[in-house]
Amino acid sequence: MDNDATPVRRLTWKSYLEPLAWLALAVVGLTMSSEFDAPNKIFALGPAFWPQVILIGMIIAAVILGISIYASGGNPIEDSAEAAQFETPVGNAVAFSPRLVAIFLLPLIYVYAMHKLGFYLVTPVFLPAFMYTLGVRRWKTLILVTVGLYAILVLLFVKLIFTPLPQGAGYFHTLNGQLMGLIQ
Amino acid sequence: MEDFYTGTALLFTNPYGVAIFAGGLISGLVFGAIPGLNVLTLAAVLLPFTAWMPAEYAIMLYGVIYVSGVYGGAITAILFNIPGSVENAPTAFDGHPMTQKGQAGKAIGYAVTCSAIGGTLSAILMMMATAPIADFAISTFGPVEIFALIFFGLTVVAGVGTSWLSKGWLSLLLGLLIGSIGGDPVTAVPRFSFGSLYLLGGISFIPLILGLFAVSEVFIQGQRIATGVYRAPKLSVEFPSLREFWTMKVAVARSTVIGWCCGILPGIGATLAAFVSYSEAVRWSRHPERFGGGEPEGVVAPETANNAATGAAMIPLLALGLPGGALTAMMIGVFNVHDMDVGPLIMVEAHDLVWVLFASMFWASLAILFLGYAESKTIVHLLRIPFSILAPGILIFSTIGAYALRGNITDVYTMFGAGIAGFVLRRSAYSVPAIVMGVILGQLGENSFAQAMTMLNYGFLGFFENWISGVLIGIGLLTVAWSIGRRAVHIFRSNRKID
Repeated sequence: MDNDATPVRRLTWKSYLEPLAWLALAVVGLTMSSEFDAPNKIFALGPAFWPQVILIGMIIAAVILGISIYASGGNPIEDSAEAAQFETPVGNAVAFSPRLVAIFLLPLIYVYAMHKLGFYLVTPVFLPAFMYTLGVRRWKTLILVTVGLYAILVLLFVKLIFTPLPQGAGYFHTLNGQLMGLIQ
Repeated sequence: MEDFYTGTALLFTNPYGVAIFAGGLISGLVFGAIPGLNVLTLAAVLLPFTAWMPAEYAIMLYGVIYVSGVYGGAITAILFNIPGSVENAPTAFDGHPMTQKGQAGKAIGYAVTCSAIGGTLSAILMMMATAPIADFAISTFGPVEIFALIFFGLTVVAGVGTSWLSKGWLSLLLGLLIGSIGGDPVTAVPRFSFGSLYLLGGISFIPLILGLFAVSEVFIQGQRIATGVYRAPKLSVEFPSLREFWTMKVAVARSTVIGWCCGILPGIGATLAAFVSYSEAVRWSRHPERFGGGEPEGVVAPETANNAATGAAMIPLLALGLPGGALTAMMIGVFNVHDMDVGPLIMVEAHDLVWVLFASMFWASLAILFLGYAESKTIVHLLRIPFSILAPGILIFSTIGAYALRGNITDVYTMFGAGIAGFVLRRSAYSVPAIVMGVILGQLGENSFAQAMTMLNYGFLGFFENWISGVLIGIGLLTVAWSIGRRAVHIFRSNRKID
């Protein structure tokens, strides 16, 4: 072998999970598309034609992906070093840690809480919490950035252009409305 | 030329006109750059106030906002992977990787200069031949040609941003599939909507793009921080040299033509211009594999084209009264507020007003060059802020951007869903640019395909009876065959080496 730097991966059944997932998606899609029925025939090819062409293309591409994985041993088929350098190698497992889980969960909790409690109450809590999760430990930075960014957001979106932002539900809707009234 | 001087004089001899011009320019740049603050918001907010302005300044204000807003979105696309609006999404494909490689100054420099060139050339063409060009373009380009153009654009997308051709195709097909969610464009039959009213309307571009670019970027960098492999992008305020610009001359010329042609078509505009121009840059490049990884031409092409589309969009608007998009439709509103109707007679009935508009768009394009040059030396310093401080700001601006669009919290969930999907797909070497192009071009493509098939009486060969569509589809098919052949040869050679 000419290039010793290229790691050669061993193919297992897991290597074929990706093409199998695509095949499953395409088959489910095709099954669903068979039920798209137009009440009239304004367009003779029907509403299912376009997605079915896409899904058949997906099946072909998934089969080619499986063949490519087999042919290349799971390594990317680069045309150049530049193309490869921006990709994360296939099969490189994510090492899960509580911090990483928090990085993914906090934004989702933020959106859910924003929906229920309103933007104005939740945002000043989310900002320092997310910064802390990402490694900011100086409390002065946490406070200054939170206050500064919150002030900019409120000034820009509430005071200047009256952008409607989520006000939460029930009691919190009223509370956020009062807060917004105070700001405006 | 005399008309241009008159328009310029009317614009700059009155301090009120200068103030409106400068205000429009700066607010367009700011609103275009920040998600949730797009130029449509600005234009809508300003619409009632135009009633108190002289008609020529009211129209001029919208022209200037249009030009500067289209450029403004490039800055955040390049620095933070957050396209300010849909037409700036292709700029992020290579602009943000350039930032990661420490070439933010260069990327902004290319975007600024090419936006200015595209906008200026477009304004000149607009001034030279509004009416005849509008007639020609609208009578020549119908659904058949538009579908062929979109097909032509899609055929190279699969090769962008991934070294696996099959994964590129799967990314593109996934984008096309996402684009087909919702009511079908002809009969409005629900597809993949699972009985949800939200999905029935189709997945909105803005939350999807914000998720795939901005949110997934936060997750990827967050993962790097959590695993201790994060490296801050190197800061550079280096502007591209004249020599580097000169190497882009063909790309600029090609993108100006594409942008202009797309901009002139009602309902198509700057978005298609940017995407098609990007895919053509890939097609004609000697190194298509570099696209998606920080290739300067990937910034030059969409930024030239989307600005070239702005001047062209004025042509059907003024000559035929056909708006090319939401902002040009609002311009019709401004005309109506001042008791004027757009159409062929506008050039005679409101001669001075039209020339003030033309002159303002020309000067706005040039002004972008100077403002943008200053920005490229200053705004890149935002990269000095540690990512752990920037990240919550990016997430909140994106959240507001997704929510403010329709006031729908489901859009925000969609954005985060797209962010997680983008994270997984990017890690597995799939191409986010191909997904985005699939969604956007797919929706436009299906619409024109359905119209074209009805016109062609469902004969697929009809696409080859028209020379424009025939050539576009023919070259598209050849491109697909060539890229598959090239990869097959590459695999064959690689295997022989290993053997």
